[in-house]
Amino acid sequence: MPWCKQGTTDKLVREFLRTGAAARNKMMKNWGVIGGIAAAMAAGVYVLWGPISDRRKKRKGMVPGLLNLGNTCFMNSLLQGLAACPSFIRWLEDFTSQNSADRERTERETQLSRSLMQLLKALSSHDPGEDDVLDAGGLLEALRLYRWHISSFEEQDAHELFHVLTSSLEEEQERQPRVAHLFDMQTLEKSVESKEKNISCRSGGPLHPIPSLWRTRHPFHGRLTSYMACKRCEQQSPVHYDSFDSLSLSIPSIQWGRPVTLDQCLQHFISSETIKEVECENCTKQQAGELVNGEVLESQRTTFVKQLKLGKRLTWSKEGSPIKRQEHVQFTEYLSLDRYKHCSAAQSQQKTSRTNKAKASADPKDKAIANGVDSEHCNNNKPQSNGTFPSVFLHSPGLSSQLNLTYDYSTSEYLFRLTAVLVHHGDMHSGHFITYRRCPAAPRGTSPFSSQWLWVSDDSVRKASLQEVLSSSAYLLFYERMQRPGLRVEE
Amino acid sequence: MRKDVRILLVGEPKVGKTSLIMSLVSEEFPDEVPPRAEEITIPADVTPERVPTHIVDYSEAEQSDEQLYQEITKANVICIVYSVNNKKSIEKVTSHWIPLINERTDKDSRVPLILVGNKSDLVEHSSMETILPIMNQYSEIETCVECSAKNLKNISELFYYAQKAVLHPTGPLYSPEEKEMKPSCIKALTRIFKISDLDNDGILNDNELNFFQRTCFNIPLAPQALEDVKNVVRKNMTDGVKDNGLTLKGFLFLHTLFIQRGRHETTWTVLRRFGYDDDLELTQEYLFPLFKIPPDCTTELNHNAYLFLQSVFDKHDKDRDCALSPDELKDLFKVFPYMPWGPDVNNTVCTNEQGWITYQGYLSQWTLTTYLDVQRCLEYLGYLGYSIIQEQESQAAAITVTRNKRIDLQKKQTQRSVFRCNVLGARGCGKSGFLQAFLGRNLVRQKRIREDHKSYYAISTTYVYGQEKYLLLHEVLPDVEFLSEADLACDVVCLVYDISNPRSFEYCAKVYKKHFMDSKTPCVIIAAKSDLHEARQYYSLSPLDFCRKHKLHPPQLFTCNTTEAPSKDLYTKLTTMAMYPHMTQADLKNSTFWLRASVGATVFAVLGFAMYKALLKQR
Repeated sequence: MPWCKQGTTDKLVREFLRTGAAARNKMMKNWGVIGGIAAAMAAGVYVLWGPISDRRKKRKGMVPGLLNLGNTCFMNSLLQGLAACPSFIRWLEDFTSQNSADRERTERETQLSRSLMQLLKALSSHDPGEDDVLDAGGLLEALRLYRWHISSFEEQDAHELFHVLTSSLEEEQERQPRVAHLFDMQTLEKSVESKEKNISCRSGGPLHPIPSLWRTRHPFHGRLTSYMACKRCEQQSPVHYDSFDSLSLSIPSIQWGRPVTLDQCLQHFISSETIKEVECENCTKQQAGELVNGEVLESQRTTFVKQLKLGKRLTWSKEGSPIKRQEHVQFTEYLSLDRYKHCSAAQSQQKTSRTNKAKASADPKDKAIANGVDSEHCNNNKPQSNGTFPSVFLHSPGLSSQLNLTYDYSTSEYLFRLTAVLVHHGDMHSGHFITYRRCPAAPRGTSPFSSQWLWVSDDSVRKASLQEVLSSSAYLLFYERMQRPGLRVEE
Repeated sequence: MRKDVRILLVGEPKVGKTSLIMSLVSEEFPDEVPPRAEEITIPADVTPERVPTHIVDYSEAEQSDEQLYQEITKANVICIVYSVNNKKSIEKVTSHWIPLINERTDKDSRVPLILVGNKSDLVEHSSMETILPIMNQYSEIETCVECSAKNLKNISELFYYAQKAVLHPTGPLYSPEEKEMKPSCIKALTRIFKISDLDNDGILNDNELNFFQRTCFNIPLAPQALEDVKNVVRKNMTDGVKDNGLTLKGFLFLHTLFIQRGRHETTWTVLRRFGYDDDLELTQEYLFPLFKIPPDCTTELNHNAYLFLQSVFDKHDKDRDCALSPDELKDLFKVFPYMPWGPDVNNTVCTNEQGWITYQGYLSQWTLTTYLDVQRCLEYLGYLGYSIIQEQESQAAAITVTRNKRIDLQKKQTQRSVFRCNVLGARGCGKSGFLQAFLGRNLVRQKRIREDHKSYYAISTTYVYGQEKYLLLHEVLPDVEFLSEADLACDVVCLVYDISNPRSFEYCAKVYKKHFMDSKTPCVIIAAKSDLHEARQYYSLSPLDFCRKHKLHPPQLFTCNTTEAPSKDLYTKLTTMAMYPHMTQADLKNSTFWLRASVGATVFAVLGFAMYKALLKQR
């Protein structure tokens, strides 16, 4: 239910944005012209007086920026965020290489994935490329082919574009036919070559390679489980699995003065809620024909999340007009989702013990916060504290992040690392998107992640500290799951 | 087509049933598993076949035998899990699980089985040598899969084949023992071939193959693919390709090849596109699409339907004589499960000298079926593959529902093309002759009609003001004491009497006075057998006086004792009266109008005279 509610709110907000866009169009054009002139003057100055040696020096550890094609900061920031996710780029490489092998498909059908692949490759390359600033016009053109009309001077939503990209990529993937037609001799002969000894079919022939829809989803794909339980007779419905590409979390109303943490948003998302007016089949049977509307309890839990993207700052005020929530949500570089893994009813006792753990960690949190406030004045290197850290660390000021990483790394099975943050500056009607992202990792490095952070605003790129990243007001958060050392690589 | 799939996993304890389910949904091996996984519902967009899937686990420790029996009954497919490194669990498949499932499932409803060998990572050799004889022994086993929940090997394949066993079963199509397609599958594919053979030459040429490809798979066909297909067929059989086209044998061979290669979903896609269900019968949704007819409306074929039926006629009229011989008619209805037209059809529509149905008679019979029984017409068009050939949603696209008759009467015009005329009269007065004369048969030809081939309907076309209209004559049995509502509902009524029989007109007069005197339906008195000597009728009024009294047309003389085909003028008049029923009542309106005008003028004159008198007195 929270998912549906968020979806509805999301649509309403988008409609409002589109309605107000026409009025802003005229204003934006003038600003575009002035901005263009200013940019030309700045470029001229830079060309005349910028030394060449300085240019090469600045390029180390940087990524190319993206040209603003007219209020396209939302697209530029999203592309920078996607480029910071190695698993997505890896998946896209497999996707495009698989498409290129298929001759029957025309190039037009895979234009979006190929242009996206080129852009993300350039944005995620460690070696300095030829260009300091890239152009996303090709991707914009490919999006228009998917009937996503983008006027050049209209502000758009980065979250909406994310869904357009994921659904368009899925659409390109699904264009491969699932049933071989009667004159498809190539597919028929291909199945003869692949002889799988461990599978045998009644028709007698060797089986063909199966469609890969069960496995080859994009890395942002995750699954939600939900079930309903009757409060009266405790009858539980089958566990229902749903798919999601991103989680839209609402900011819960917390007491004044207390900081809101990402964990609190997640727990608010998966909290149970009471639904009335639902008839329980078991109660109907037990009541011997009497129809009683029993109250049922719905519980949602995230499970098996490969990659997680969070963000939602828009809400509705009591007067009905949309306002932007300005509260700062604390988030961390590492996110553990072990608590949110779905467990069956047979493990309810373990669930209770985990709840106790959560409660235990809540009590020392007050002390930690007080301690943190004190330590902020004398030690700026202390990491931000929130509920995910075990209580043992909250009483040890001065602990380094390396030790913290080691501890979480060994105990947490569903550990996610922050890869990018999209920040929106401004209010409901206008603003600007920027991205905090990691540097591309060195090719020879053991880890696909770099510890250096960058601040990217269209074509401006500079280094940023982790402290600056964690203190920003996040609009979209990109987390990627970490692999445990020694764990075999997933097929 | 099935809406969802329910998969049940059974097997000995500790073989890994729960681990398989958890490995599927989490895509990683669970180190810790409960005794039984909760029932899982997976949405359609995640599964390969786009079908919602329910996966049910079984635990001997947690569930009773009764619960197991219920789950077996509810399941669409059952996966029997064994451990490849545990011989006892393999033996239990045949000694315990298969007999239990066969005992608990209805033999008519076929439940496919999947044999799942788990923990394949623990052994080096495959257990297929032991399992394959089991699969050959039990026909309900669809697939055998060896997998490993720990290595995530063949987990997706396992559940995909479980889905496929439900959605695309092998059983109805193919017999592995004989290595041939089953007769019901051959019959269905033969009908599909015949429908797709648009020129009825026994060969699917390149145009027909492209049409078939576009219809079934919605994918453009490359010319090279066509050549590859023909080369494969040529390589394997001598008479599969002929005149650079695919014969029925080649068509069936291709399907057999796809089924043998495990690609039977291709054949199922073709069958379902042509309206077949999992039992290889045409579905009710295909044959009888939803179709609503408001009251007082009739059903007719539209222009596209007539064009389609014309093409079907041309397809089977091999000798181009504009008539269907008995062999050609049988060939046309080969795609039907039964012969829909009996010998009475030859006495319902126009035929040629040899008694064969002509092109006009053929279309007339279709028009009659649509008018009288539209559901049967939809069924017939379904057998012919109308919605497939015409690329329509269903056969309902071939039917036009006419406007309510009351609106037609109000607006004094109609768009209808088919008009019904009920023919009433005493026994032996010549009603059947009246119907047969409409088909162009004189008395000599009528005497050759066998009694058991008699028809109570006749339908043909007439031209009214240059437009072609269908007139449907229906002979009403005079034995019934009371005429039914259907007998009275028509566009025009014919009351037939024999001029040589003194008692014949009495029946017509009684029927008219009882049922039609107060109705708006136009009536015509037919004086049949006018070639005979006229006898004075016993009725109080002579027929001419009766018509004059009730403002009917004078009796129309009719005889079928002619040297050539009887004249159609009378039938044209009947159709005109059916098309314009308000014209017969216009006379009444005219007389009433003049009467009222005269009374008004008289009153006005009297008032004027009185006024004149009053004015004179004042002077």
